[in-house]
Amino acid sequence: MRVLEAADKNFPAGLKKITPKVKKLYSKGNFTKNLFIKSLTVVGARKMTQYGQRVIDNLLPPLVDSGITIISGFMYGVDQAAHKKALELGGKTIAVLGWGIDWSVGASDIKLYREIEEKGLILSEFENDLKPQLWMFPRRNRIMAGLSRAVLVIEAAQNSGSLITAGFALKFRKKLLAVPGPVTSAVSQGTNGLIKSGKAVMITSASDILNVMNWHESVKKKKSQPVNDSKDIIIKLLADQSLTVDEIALSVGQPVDKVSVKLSLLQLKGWVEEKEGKYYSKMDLT
Amino acid sequence: MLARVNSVAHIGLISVPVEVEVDVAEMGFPSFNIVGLPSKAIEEAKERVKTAIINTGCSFPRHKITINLAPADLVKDGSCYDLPIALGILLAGGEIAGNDTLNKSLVYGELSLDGSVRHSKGVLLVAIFARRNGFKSVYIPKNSSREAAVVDKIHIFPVDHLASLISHITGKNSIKRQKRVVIDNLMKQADSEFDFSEVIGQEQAKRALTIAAAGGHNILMSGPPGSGKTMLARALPGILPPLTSKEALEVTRIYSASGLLNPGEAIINVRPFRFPHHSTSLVGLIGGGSKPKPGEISLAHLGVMFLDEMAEFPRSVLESMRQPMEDGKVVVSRAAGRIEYPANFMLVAAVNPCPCGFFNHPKRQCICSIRQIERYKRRISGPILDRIDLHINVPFVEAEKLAGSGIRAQTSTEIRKRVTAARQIQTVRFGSDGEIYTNSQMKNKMVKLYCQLDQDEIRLMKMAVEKHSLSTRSYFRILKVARTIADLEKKDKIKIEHLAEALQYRMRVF
Repeated sequence: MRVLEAADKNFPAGLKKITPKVKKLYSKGNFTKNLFIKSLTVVGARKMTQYGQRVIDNLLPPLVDSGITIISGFMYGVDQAAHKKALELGGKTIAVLGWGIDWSVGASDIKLYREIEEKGLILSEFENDLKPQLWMFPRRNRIMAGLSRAVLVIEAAQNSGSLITAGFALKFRKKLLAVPGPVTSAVSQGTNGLIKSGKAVMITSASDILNVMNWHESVKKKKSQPVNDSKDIIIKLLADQSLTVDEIALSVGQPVDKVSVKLSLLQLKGWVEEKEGKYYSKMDLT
Repeated sequence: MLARVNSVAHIGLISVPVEVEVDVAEMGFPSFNIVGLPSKAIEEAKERVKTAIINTGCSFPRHKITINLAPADLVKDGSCYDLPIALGILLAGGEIAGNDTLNKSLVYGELSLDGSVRHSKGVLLVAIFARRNGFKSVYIPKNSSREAAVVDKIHIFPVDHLASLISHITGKNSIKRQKRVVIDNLMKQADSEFDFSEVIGQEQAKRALTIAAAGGHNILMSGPPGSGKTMLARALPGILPPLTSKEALEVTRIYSASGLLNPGEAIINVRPFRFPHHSTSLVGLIGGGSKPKPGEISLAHLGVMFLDEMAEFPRSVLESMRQPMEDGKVVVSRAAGRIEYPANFMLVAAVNPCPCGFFNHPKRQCICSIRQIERYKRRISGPILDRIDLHINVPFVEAEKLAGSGIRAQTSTEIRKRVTAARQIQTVRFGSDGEIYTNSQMKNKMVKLYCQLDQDEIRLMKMAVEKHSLSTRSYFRILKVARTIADLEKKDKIKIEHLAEALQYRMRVF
């Protein structure tokens, strides 16, 4: 573990200007100053839906390929999905904790925690093993907003913590970006609201972010996606929606046992994925 | 004078011989004593027997009467010694003269005060015991005689009244022998509340239940309230294959011993379908009590046990099912003895995805926190989930999506035909293995023998193990399910498509 004082020359520049002031920062993992140069804070709902997962699956790869550091808050839901995606793609990620740097996370999170510690960076303003308490999360959110150049909100409900982070982003004059969601979904009310009120820039693709942030110059050649076998009727069907086995069977007019077989095989190839009983395509949608 | 009458005591499903010795002494004050560790019910037999004898028109000996139930160190219970005691008293008191056939006969039954003989529990076990131990005939209550009549090669005398037993033994008027009942003629199809064609949508769930019924696999359905989990489970008896006569006899033994056969009923002719409420105690589910009785899992033997709202069952109750689910039997040890009951059942369980039930519901908002949902899911332990072969989601069905879909749903009768055909393949397969009836009961060794894979299939399973991080146990479960799917299609070899479909039903954290 490493301690950074505000006076330290390595202290992230973004944090020097924000209020309330950040006096000390504890870190674990690989601290380098250039981590923060091109960074994007990704926040969102804890109760992420498949839609949120698909958005992360689609938006993050081009960003990570462009060398952008993904900053998030290590909460379950969107936060952890963003960390995982960044690590999966071999990118850089920073987790800003809402608890003491030494407080041990639950068994379900420990694997991700170790991985970030090993390959990325873990930051916290709180010392020792201070337990997470409600007041600490908004404080953590201000650090997340302060560290990066822009805050991207994926799925946020009304009055959620993600909107607090969004508020800090505006206060610190960072770019606020939001991905719109279904108007029927409770966890899209917040993001849609940000866009409607004009506070956030609407993001519908990774290139939107790269354009808005002017991050184009260093974009590396995009890694090739798995080939879209568009002949497959199921892949086509799942391209723009997530469906249960029954719904797929009904749409393609095949018996459910045949569809199950196909889905299993597609899943083993990594072309479709299943979450909470619904299938969605892993292919690049653009 | 001394008289001896043969009878039987049951310890669980095991019968042991009991000799009812009756001595009517010439000397001594008139008294009536029963020895040989009788229970309260047997103590009270004195009053029933005395009154019944008098009401039958015989005289009750005014002498010192001593009854011994041998072996004297075995605790005896139940009211079924009324008839042998009454007969013994009449013989020993010289009221009637015995004959030699009594030495080769068993007498069993409860008396009513007017001398009539009442329906008693465990009669089937008496008949089986008689057949195995060389007895020629059994005298049993008329109401229960059809139970015994499924056993061949013994004479069954249905006794409706003490008086008719007396006239039979004295040779005045013999009792007509009970005709043998052929089990196969009694088998019938269970009625279920719903037909599968009445369940709208839920095609995957229906398919999974078909596989479960065909291979006797345990199945867990997870879905929001109102999605049709309970309805599907209640429709299940309609697709279960009929009991075979061997199975029927096994099931009936348990029901007979627990007194759950109705008067006049010969055999349990449909697969048991038990649905204990989630307030059921551990003893109620597993079996036990001071006089160990079979629990729900044994009453569901060779049938189905449906646990609705499984997560609401106390953890300790669920955990206690672990060993019986693995072994197909349960051993209940109590002060009164150690009793083994068979418990080879198919578990059908239904759970909500979260405490409020609306997690991932398309229309309703879930009000549970993620932590609450996680805690709820942990209520069913890993080892229990690990023993369930098929895991499916039963999502909420939006009726308008299905309207006019034009798909004709299969009826229960159609499905049952395919299930029965698959079971027959299994019967042939396991014919020589004795104890086993279905694919789900295969031990790992047998899985290796009957679920052999070719190169392509092995490659697929390797990919699946890596992709879904399957444990060894789940690997074997998938093979068993694939075996059943292949059986449903009447295929000898397990092919890629069977494995691929089986993978759809693998364990997820529900």
